[in-house]
Amino acid sequence: MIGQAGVPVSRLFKKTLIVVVVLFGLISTSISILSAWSIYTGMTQEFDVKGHSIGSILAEASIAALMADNPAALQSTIDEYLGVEGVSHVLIADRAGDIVAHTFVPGIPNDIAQLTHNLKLDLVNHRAGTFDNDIHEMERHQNIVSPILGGEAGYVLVGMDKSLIKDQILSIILQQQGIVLLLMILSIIITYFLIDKISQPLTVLNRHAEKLASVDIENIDCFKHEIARLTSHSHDEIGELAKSFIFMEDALAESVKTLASNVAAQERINTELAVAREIQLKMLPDQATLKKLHKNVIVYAMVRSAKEVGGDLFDCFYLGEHGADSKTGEFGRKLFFVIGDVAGKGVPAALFMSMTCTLLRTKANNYSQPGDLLQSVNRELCVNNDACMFVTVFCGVLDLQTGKLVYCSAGHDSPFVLSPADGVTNLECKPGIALGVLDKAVYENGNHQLSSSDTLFLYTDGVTEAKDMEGQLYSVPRLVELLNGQLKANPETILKAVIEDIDRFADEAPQADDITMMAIHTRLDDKC
Amino acid sequence: MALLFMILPLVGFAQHDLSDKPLKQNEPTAQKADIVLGMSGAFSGTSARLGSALYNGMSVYFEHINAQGGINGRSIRLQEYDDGYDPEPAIKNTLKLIEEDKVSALIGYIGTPTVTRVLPLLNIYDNKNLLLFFPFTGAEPQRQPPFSAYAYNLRPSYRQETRGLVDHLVNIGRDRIAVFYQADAYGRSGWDGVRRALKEHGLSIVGEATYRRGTPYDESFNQQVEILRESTPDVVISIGAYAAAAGFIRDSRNADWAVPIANISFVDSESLLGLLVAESSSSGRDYTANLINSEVVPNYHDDSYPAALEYRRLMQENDLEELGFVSFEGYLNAKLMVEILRRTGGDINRANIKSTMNTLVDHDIGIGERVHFSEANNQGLQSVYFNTVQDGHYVSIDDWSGWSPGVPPL
Repeated sequence: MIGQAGVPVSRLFKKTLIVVVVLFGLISTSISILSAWSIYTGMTQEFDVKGHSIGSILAEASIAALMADNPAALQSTIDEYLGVEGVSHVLIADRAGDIVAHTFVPGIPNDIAQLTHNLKLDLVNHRAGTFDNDIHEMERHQNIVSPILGGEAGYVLVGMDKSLIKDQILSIILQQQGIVLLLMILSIIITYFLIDKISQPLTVLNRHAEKLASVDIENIDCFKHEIARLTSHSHDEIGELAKSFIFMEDALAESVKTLASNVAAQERINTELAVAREIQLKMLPDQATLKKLHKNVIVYAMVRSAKEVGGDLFDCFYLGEHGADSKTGEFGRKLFFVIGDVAGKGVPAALFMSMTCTLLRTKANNYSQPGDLLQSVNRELCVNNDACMFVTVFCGVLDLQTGKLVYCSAGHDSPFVLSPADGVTNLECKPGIALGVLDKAVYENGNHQLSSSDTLFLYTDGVTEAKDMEGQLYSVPRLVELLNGQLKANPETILKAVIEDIDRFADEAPQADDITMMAIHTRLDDKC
Repeated sequence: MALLFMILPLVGFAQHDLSDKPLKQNEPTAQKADIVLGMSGAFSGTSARLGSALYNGMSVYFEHINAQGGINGRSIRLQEYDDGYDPEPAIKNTLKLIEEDKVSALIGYIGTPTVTRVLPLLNIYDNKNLLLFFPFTGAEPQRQPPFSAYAYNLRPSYRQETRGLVDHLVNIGRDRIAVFYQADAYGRSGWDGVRRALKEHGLSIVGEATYRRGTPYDESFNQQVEILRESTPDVVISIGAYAAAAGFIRDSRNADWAVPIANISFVDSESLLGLLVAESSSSGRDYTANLINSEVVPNYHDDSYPAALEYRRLMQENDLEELGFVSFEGYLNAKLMVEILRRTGGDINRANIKSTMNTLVDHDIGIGERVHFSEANNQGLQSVYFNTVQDGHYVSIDDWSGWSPGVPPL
């Protein structure tokens, strides 16, 4: 019965059906009660009137026949009234109260016999006037007694069949119920089609909404078409709803388009950043370049970047003009090394790092003291540094013949010296101000004498500030402890041990910052 | 069974093709107009045989007269209509006979409820001088004023029949009399007759039960049997039509109630007997015992009556084998009607009829008893005959002593 309209029709229809049935039930019950009552009172009244009239007429018409003692004529007269609707029996008694004509078949019922017996006693005892159109109610009959000549000549008893009233009520109620039932069925059919008509657009909208998730937003105009007609056909809430749908879809399409173009832009940027990162990494010396440095020294460095382009930097090269030995003029006696960390991330940090790297590399040969170099680079970096970028740097120059190390720190963590004899020691140095902060900043040099087989371990804060899953820092003590176990190890082994330990520590925790490490192992020239 | 009673159509046309024989057409020989007589009776329903029998009895005699040249050269035509023993059609038929058929007189109407309703019509049609002759009913209305002025009876009344029965029964000691009767004017007439007769003996009816007019034979009458049996009567007088009367007898006997049951002439004794004989032969029980029937004509088998001889001859000539009290009464009605037509020259009206009827004093119609009309008496015959069934035939009851309560039933 619910049909193709599906769930919305079914539920709507069920609810309406209940309302219709209850409504019709109430109507039908109240009509039946009202009808039964009015028919009952009307017919009872009519039967009274009819019974009285027939009784009176018969009383009048019977006089002559009663006087002539002609029961056949009386019978003939009363037989005529037996056909009148509602009349169940007629009886005439003479002045002695004896029944002289009646219409009962097969005989006079007991209750009537009792009634006539009592009437006879009334007649005999009181004579006329004791009853005047008396009504004797019995279970099935209403008996109306009409005296003939005031009771002197006898009486007429007319019985009205009350069961006719019941039959009539039943028949009319049945007819009414039939009509109400027909009307109800008609109403249900009309309601069904009406609800189906109302719910069809709803179903269209419903299906439309379901399909919306999978539709190609590019073709939204075609898709919209199927509900567009609802806005023109339904000038009601359905039409308004369809309009809202179309408005929502337009807004959705617009925002999806914007999102798509944003994503495209982001992707483009990401691609460019990746390229930038590659370029940046290439600015740092690779392992092969570092290997070429090997003479009295073994250098190994490692950069593990966080997601975006970062600002860690390191470099290591032999000083040129000034790097050449003043006496021998031998090139490659003095090794310049630097490690740094630009504050912040992203493109600005990368650019600042590039600038720092370039300045250090170009200026390194001009200054014999790292402090001077940093002072010079700092001045350059402070020029037009509107973004207030800064970089911490630790750099030094190692004399590979003497093991003398001159170094300077611009706000960077001081490195550790791993000595097989003395263990791990932190290189003492004045912290200095990070480069790019203050153009007149002065950087003091530090000196340290490295022994042969000592290893200098440099790092950025990405090492000590690596976090585990619970946010705990890797920390300097843990690093020192690890390094203590690596006193005799070569630089590559040391760095790999550290990075493995960091990985163990961090577990699944994401890397928040670039991790950069560099280890320089000295094998001092015997000639020194 | 319907073929047992066939109608012999008279000159002219017949309304009921109840006969399986070709119509015997007698074209009017004379130039003069027919004398048209009108009849309304039961040709259908539970009393259909009554109409056929009465019609046949009348028509054989009219046919006989017509064959001899009619009345002064005028043929007699009997126009009949069926009322099914119901008052309403009887009234309509009468109006039709008066207005359309322009009948000279009405004859052979059947039944008390029908006749008592038709009588007032004759009063209304006073100016047409219409008279009703020899209705087949013993009720009082057409025997007493005011309607006695519009009717002449041949047969004795129900009062006479019931008085005859009551007198004989009381005399032999059967004084507890109950009445089984049709719930209408006919039944009431018979009931009244019994009541009056008993009253003269200082008795009253000990029990009564009724049935609805038109009740068929197949219907059960056990209730009536039960009601009457409770009053422990010595005899039941039945005022009924043959179907119901036979049904009541059947159910009484089936209830092993052997009480004598007396019927009156209207019952159509042959039809009653026919049903009971058929029932007896199908069930093996004898339903014809302990029956008394009062008749208003003598036994038609009695050769001592010239009318009986002529009736049987005419019936035979017309191939009507089913003889009976009813058709014999019809024959006698016709015979007296012809005599009246002869005496009035065929022109019947209330002005000349009285004087004509008054000449019918001591008139012999061949049944022993002579017809006698007078100013104060509009009923020709007074004798009632009593029969019982022996060996499937009606025989006269000559000695009532055999019906005494102490005597074992026949």
